[in-house]
Amino acid sequence: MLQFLGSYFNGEDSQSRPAQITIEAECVRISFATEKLGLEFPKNRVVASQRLAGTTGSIRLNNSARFMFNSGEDFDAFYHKLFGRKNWLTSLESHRNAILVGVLSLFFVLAIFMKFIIPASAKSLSSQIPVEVSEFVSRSLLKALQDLKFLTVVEGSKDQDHLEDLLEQIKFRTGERLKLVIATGKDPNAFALPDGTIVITEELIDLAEDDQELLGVLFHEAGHVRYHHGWQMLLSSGAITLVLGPVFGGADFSQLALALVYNGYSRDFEREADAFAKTHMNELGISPQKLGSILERMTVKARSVDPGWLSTHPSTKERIEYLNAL
Amino acid sequence: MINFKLRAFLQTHSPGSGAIHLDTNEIQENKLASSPIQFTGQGSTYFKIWIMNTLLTLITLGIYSAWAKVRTKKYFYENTWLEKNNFQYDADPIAILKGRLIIGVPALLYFFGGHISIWLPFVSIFLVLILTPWLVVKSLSFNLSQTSHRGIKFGFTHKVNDSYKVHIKAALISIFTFGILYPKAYFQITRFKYSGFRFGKVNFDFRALETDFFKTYYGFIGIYLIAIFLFVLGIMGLYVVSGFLEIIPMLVGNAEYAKDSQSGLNFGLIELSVLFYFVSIYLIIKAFFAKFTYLIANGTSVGLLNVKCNLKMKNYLTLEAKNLFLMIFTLGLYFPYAKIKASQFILESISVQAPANSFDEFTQGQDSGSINNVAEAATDFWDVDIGV
Repeated sequence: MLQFLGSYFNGEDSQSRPAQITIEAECVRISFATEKLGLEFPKNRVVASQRLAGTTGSIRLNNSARFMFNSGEDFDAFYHKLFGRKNWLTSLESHRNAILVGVLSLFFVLAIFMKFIIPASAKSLSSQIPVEVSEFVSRSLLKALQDLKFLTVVEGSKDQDHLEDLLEQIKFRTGERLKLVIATGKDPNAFALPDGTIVITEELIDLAEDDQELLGVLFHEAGHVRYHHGWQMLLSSGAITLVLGPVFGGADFSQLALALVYNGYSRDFEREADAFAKTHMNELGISPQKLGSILERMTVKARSVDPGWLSTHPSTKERIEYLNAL
Repeated sequence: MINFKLRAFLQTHSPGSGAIHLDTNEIQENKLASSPIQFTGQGSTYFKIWIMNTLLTLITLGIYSAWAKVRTKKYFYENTWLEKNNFQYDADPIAILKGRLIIGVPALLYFFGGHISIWLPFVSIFLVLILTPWLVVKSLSFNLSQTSHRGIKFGFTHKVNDSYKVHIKAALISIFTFGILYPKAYFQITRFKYSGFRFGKVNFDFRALETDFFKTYYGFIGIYLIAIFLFVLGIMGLYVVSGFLEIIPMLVGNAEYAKDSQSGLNFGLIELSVLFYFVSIYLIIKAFFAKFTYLIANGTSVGLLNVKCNLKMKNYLTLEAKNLFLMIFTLGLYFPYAKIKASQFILESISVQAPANSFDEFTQGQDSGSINNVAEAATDFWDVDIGV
């Protein structure tokens, strides 16, 4: 008969009583060295959770009484006998090979999440978002950017009519629903909001040497709209925070990882938008090099102000090489 | 002696009576023995548990996190020993999981809300603020009722409406004094929490001093301001130095090189001083919480048991600095080791002074039963920490 040594606590007072535990047909029995009378507890009321590696384990005999084992091996044997199952968690947590596999799979699973699952789900979700929501979000974003003094929307800009004409061509060519907002900020810049609003700064319009360059920029932004890049970014950064937050038990590390992955995703988006622009420019008979040359001037201009923001884009050199290639 | 026994009797036989103050002289007469807390957790063992927790949480898309949480807590509790017995933690992961599913909505609003409307996160923060006093009571009740030592359960005695009174009062105190009296508010909330603890039928007594909270709080504000000042000074210094360095290549007649080397230097050094700034802030925050743990532990007694904390701040901060360094260098893999080492340092600085055999004399009294229902477990989402 299996019997194990340990301590019994009745849950009514704080005394520890040396005792031994045995499993009988319908109950578990606690017997004491010093007292003749033992105690019996119905088997079906005994509760135990799987032991943790490095601890000795204990079981709850009912709502209050508890038996603590002297050794972890005893607990495992008892647990197996009483519940007819093994401590699979305990064995996982104490096997060296399992841990090695664990570490490797952790990196593997994280990589799969970052590289495939999150981008793929963001991609499929991003096309499902209702237009109304996109419009609402875009309005809020534009307002926030203005409140934060990143830019000021210019009503009735001298370039408005001209840019609208160019945008008509883009709309016709790509079939996207696009709107134009001209703004002024400190840098030459252009970006697309989720609802198809393209924001372009007067600084960028001034920087352009001809319409073909502006068309290149507009095609690039239309590419962001086509592939819902804005939504993909918002969805995936939210998902990463949710996945990594609990893993690393705090915001610090998940923010670090977020920053790294963010960079990676955003580079992919830029490449995709460049490819989109290149295809359409070729169709229209404009050389994609036009987009490359305005990019180059933007980079030079921006570098003198702040080298920071360009880091989210693939190196401009790489992009220009891509646009120049046939 | 008779007096002592009478007090001990009163202590254990009047439910809800709270602790009785004893003068030090009286306790010394009865031979106080000091029992240090021992922590037997090991980095290598906890690393394995942590890896499995993390992996299973990811694979099950977060469902396992409830089990992971309970197993982590169990590991730390069961490796904390006082008077030859360890602490036990018995929460049911399924209750926690159900609770999380129910209460996950405000959290999702917070995470994703910002992208949909800038107002949604504010709504959820507001909700959390309104619910905090309730959460504090429910979460402490839940976690303490799952915790036991020598078969005796802990519990929380204070009620939700008292929690609202204390929190509202504390909020008003700090708002109307523009934060100057914030330590007073923090003290009142801390006292509310710890004086509500119960072990068996003995209530905890919280006797930390409000003046110590003031001194500590403003001491740390001072240190924080000095850190910021040094940081700003350092950055300014760097600009001056890099200005000098810029001139040198110009003198040799290579202006293009000058531009590159200057921006490169600026970038590296500024990053470095930002890193230095974050490391100091990290350590200041660690020291801040350790100091309050010290104050709270030293101000706590449980019946005849007096808690003492003897934290060596310098050694502790050296440890935390080493931990941070190793965590950065191992891309976070050192995290479980760091957590074990820091917990061990803090826990083992604590001891309990008690008259002989008093550990055997606690009784459970009327147990309100195990609180393990979903509504209570839900509050674990915010995990109001019970400290030591």
